[in-house]
Amino acid sequence: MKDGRECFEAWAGDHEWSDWTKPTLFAGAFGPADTGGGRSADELLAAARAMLARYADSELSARGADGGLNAVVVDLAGSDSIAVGALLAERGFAPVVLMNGVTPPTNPVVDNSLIIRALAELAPRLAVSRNPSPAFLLDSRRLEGTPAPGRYDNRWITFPQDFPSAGRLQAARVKRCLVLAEPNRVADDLAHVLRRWQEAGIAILDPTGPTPTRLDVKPPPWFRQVFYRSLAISGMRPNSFGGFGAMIPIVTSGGYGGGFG
Amino acid sequence: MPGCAVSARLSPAAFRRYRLDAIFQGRKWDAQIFDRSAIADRALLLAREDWLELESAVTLLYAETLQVERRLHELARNEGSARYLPRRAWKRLRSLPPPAFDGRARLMRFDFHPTEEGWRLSEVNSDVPGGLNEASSFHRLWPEPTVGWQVTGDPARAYIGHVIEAFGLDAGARVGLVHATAYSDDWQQMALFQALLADFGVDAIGVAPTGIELRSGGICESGRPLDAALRFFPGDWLLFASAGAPWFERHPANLSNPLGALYSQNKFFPVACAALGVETPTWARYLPRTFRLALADLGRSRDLAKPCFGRVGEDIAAINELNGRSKLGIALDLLLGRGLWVRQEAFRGLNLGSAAEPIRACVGVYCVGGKVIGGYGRLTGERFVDMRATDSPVFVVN
Repeated sequence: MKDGRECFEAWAGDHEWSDWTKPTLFAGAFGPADTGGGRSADELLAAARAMLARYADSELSARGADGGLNAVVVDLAGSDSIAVGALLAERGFAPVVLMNGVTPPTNPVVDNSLIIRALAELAPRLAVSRNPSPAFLLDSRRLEGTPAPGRYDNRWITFPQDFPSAGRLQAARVKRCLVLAEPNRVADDLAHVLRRWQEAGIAILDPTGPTPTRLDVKPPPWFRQVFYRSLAISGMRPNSFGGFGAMIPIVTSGGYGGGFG
Repeated sequence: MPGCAVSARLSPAAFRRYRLDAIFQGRKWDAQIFDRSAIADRALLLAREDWLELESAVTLLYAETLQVERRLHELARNEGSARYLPRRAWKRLRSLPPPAFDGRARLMRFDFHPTEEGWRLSEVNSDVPGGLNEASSFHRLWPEPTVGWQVTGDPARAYIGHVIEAFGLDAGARVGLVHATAYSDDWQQMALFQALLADFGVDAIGVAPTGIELRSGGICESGRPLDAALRFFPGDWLLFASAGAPWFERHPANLSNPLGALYSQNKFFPVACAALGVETPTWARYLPRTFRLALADLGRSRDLAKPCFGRVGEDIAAINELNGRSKLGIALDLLLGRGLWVRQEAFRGLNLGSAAEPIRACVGVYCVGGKVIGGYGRLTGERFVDMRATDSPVFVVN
């Protein structure tokens, strides 16, 4: 891949889920300096095959027995998520990169270099079939790491507006969403998305057991609150204004005085 | 009636190329929100006399806004002054030192809407105006012929040029880009500024407010002094957070924008001005009448409810269309002092589309140092121009 744009076009593809691909990783510091190290395409795909072997094949196909589509959310660590996405493309899915952390020039809290390497390595191998189901790719490390002086806090969280709405998915005949997560739990930020889909009638499934089990995604804190985005981004870590600074927009004391209006 | 129209839609193939150009050349990384593109497939076209009217209005509004901030601050410092913020926030704001009202490199964006009664202003983004990537690149990337169309400017380049001059920055200077680092849509604007500052040999460092040390008017990052800082971290977040205190106690010089901007960023300021006798004739001409939102208004008003520190149109709604839960939330805000709201007369945006496909528009016009430096458009099929709107270039036509 020559550059970030060419790689982005390969991953975004030309299908009905293309527009949701996040350009942040591709448009940021994408370049030769970021693509050193990491695993080859063959190594990445081999690791992804081993990971997917844990799941029953039939449940990771794009179409269910009833003709409805299966969507997938892949919430694995960094390049593993990318590799699983590339492999799912062979099974009728369109991998949709939703990773939204920036790549600053120096000293980030979350290192994206191996993800970028994986994106570049696997882009030439992608083969998305016609009328695919979406497989949304997240990085489970997005909230890991500890900011410190001199480090750029590029941790991030995902938001409902990053995904298609439940109505849009259902219009494409998506009936189920399988969650591949490591650790095997639904992260709070992802719960904001999945709970909306669940309320609209999309079954959220955990495919790790012998047969998939239906998950009941509970409403997470601040579910459907207008200020959720600001609160979430600013409220992750006390005593800091970094990407995840203090609970900023909440007024904690006092009332409004004066006699205007 | 304003001379304002939208261009024909780009073809799907042309739009696809334009979208990619916008992402990679215009650094528009938040290109999709839910099921909608954040990039419009139409351009907004303004008649020359309308752009001249907006330019003239913005020049006056800019000067009035600076005066309002200084005057409200003077009045706020008086003992027994009427308070229109929670206690702690009010104490911080009224204690701001003079550098917080430094007018150098002061950037504002005024949002105008075409209506059947002429242009109406919905707000000024006087604290941390965004959208500069879109305003500075979309017109350049527009793929259709634009013969006879003129651009309104390159506001990002003009702003950075103004910063260099106003703060006397030479090659080798260090500038902090203070922002919420988890927002990739903030970083996209910081990346643009970094590139523009590099053209002047200035080293720009992206940093969160906690990465900044404030020392008697000076600013340090990683123990080294900065020659200036450009702030894109919302001032109201600093105002309401416990950790925000140093920014008000030791407000640095060479900060763009300074925190005195919070007086006008607060949508309550027209109410305060009216009560305190601060005259704002240009604001009065363009801004719909604005009042303090009272509990009784929630029962019967047909006006809009607006949160005082909203930024992207979140939570703006016609009061008589609010559901019970929303009204209860606002009522609790009003009773418990958790949030400040205004009631504003609604205007009906001109439909630039058709009955089947309505299109309403907003033009954001940037001004720095009293000079208009460009603008961009936002288009929507909804009643209000809010976060669901799409961004478009603005061209001036004869």
